[in-house]
Amino acid sequence: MQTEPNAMTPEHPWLQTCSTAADRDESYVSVQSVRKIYSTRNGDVHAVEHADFDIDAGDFVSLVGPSGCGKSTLMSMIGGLEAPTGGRIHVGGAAIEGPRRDFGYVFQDATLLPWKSVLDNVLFPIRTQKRPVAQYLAEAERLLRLTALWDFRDKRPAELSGGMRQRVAICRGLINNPSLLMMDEPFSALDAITRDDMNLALARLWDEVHKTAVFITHSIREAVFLSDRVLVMTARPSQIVADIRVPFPRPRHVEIQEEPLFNEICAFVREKIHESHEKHTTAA
Amino acid sequence: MEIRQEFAIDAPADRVWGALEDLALVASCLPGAEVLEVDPAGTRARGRMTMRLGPIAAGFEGEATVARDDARREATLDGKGADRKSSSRAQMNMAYRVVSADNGARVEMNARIALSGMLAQFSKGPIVNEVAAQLTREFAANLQARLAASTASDDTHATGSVTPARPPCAAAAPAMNPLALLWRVALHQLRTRSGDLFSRIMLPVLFALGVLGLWEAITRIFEIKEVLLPAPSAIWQRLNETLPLLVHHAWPTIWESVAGFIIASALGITLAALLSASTLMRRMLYPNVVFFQLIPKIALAPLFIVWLGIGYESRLAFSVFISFFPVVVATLAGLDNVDKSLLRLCRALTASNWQIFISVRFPHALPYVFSGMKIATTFAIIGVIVGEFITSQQGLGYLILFASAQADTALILAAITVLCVFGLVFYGLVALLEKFVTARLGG
Repeated sequence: MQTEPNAMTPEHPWLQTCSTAADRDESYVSVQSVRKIYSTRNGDVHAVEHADFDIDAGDFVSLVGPSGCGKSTLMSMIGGLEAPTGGRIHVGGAAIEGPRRDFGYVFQDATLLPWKSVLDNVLFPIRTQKRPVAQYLAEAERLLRLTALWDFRDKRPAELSGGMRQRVAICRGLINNPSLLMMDEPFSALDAITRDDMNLALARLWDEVHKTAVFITHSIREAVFLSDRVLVMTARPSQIVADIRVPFPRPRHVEIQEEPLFNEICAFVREKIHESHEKHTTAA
Repeated sequence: MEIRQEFAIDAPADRVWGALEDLALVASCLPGAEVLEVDPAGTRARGRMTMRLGPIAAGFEGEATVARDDARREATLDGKGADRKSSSRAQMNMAYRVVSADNGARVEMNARIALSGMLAQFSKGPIVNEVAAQLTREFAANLQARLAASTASDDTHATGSVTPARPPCAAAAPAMNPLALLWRVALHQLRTRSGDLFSRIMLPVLFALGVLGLWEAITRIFEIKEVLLPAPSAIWQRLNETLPLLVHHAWPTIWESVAGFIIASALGITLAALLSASTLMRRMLYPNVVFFQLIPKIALAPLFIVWLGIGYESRLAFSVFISFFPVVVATLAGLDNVDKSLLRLCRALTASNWQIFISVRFPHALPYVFSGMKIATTFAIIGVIVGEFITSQQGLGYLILFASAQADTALILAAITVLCVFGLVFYGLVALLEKFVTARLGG
């Protein structure tokens, strides 16, 4: 781990400083002084003010924050879907210049092809990237079985529930064995109960696949439950205000949500977000 | 609404009660039912129920909870589900019990069903009772067969052979006979005169027949001259007399329309693809396409004769010209209307523009393409007929002009009848092609 425990807060041993390793290009994902400014007719919009952090290989990292804090933009930049206005992003030692074939993406909507079966949807990246489909059939089966979708492999997306569709999208994101999986609020369109189920399903899946992942959410509990590390973002200024290493071991079980430590961490995150929110509203 | 059903079954009551505990087995005996998930305790299940209720095929998906009282062999089942296609909801509270009877067991059910949405229109008492009675009969027969099979396997088990304790889950019970049900429902709809089927098919047909009858009556009562307005019967007679002539003239009209339509579709789709792929092309061409669309194209028909002569070429070219615009406009709308998030996904997957076109844009546009092509069938025929009006020595358009010169009104209308039949078949074939292609694409 390249980060040091923060000496300022001994009561929060899981809190780390966002400070980084000496040689930052060594870390797996390195986001260095990244800014994103959109020029609009009404002036510049600072979508991401300042982002500076590293991610270790194999970590499941959540970016949690209120709507409009720039977390999706930040993920898009790491994923190469948008270019930063300033700063540098490295993944696996190479600068990001565009979308990469070894990344996986899951978006807020399942974005499945409605005329294709579940299995064909999962294999869509393979066909698109002209990889040999036969070599990935076993992986598709493994992922669909892990997400309890194998029996539905011949169904069309319209025949599935919202949660099932999003699980298909996650399988599709993982099919090319990505070195980095990006998930942009994948569960925010689901109802609360389905969402809880999905969190468990994703946690179970992660016990099996162990991938480096960036997970965007505005649900604090979801972030803490799923992640190895939680980065708390605030809006205005859009930046990272806390860096938490979640101390629960994997496999994660539902019960940890009842533990005092879990709630303590959630409360801390909530407080961090509210602090900045109040500062902003009183200033305005 | 309340439904009561009961059936007798030739097995001890305890065995029947035991069998009913296995929700997967119950579903496999119920025509159209399918269990998707059962919780480990076996008291909650998620499932799907496909059935026909009147003209609608409904696929309900929902959850059911069962509370059983083993001592009294009584249970209640609460379920609710929704059918997305017909946007209907159903809720059911059912109480059932198994009682010992003289030669086996009797199962009694009492259900309260509430339907809302489109299906509710069809939930008139007689129909639902009919459906319930039929489902119950088939369920009882299937359950009986299943219990008999399991007894047999238990027997072999007892003699020491290695067989599974329960019979392997056979294929789900066949869906109930939809035709018979549909017929009953149609009759019911006719009786109530408010149903969907009645108003959608029977009503317009009856109206058309009525108009024909009125037409026939008026021409007879007022002794209208045949030149002015022949009676439908006279047209039918003329059609029979001149059938060889009509067929002879229909042939060139048909092949020119079909060829014109095929060329127009190919050109239209290609142009739309070009316009959607290249911003330059779109800026340059699309305003002009729209402008041409505004021209009353029939006015241009004589020009085509000037350019291409009086042979089939001019008619074919004009037919293509007139029928290709709807294909372009509809296809382009389909290609443009693709979900932006799908395009974002393709970009993330480093798909090329060609790949995006082939695997996302075009399949998405297909329904639009076909709606444009269906319009184009009519336009292609119009193009050929107009061309025949102007120059031809054959074809139905020529025959219509010829007959009007002879004041043979019945023949004019007979030729138009043939045109209508051809137009209908043409349209129907394109609609069939659409079904075929959509099914293939999805497979």
